[in-house]
Amino acid sequence: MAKSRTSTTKKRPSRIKYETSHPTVSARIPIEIKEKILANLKTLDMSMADAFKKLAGELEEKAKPIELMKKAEYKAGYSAAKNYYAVPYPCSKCEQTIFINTPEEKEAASKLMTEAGWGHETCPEPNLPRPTPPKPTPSSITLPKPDPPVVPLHRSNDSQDKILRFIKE
Amino acid sequence: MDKIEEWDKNCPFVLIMLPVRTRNKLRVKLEKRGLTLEEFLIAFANGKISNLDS
Repeated sequence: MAKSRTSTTKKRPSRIKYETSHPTVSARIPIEIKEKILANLKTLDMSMADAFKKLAGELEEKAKPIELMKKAEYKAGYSAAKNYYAVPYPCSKCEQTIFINTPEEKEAASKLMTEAGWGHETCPEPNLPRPTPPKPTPSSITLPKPDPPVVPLHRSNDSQDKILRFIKE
Repeated sequence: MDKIEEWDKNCPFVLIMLPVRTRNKLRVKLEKRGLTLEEFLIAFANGKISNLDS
């Protein structure tokens, strides 16, 4: 009589060691429940063992792939910048939101802001007299220094003779 | 198909190999909740347990 394969197969020592350190936890549940559990776990992006580990408080947070993290960070930065800088206005025809983007739109916005009299909060009102700068006192006036006298170049008679001799030769 | 085969098909085993320490902690947690493993799995499937941390 032939024996089953499982009874004859000898387990490797590493397998025996693993099985003793990781015993099987088993349960019998209806197949519909199992399918529901698997669907729930899929939404949580976890395996069954992960769920049990989390319940036991033993699950370590997995490091997310760097590309996903980069995308998430970019998205967060983009939305923050959009909230800070983007200037929306509704379309006059369909009332959908448009953001000021083109140079023509920017020019029109600048014109409107100028006409409405927008400016710095700290700047004085344009009708008020502006503070005049203090007049310079005689002691504070500094005259420019005169140029140094031009000294003509002087050549000695010896050097002149030498040059004349050189030309003649 | 006999009854055992039918039972096996309709109610399959859920087998998970867990470290001894995790298994012991799991037992304690389930005892605290007053649930067996099967009851916990059914509650989880029906969405009654959404937070696994507490």
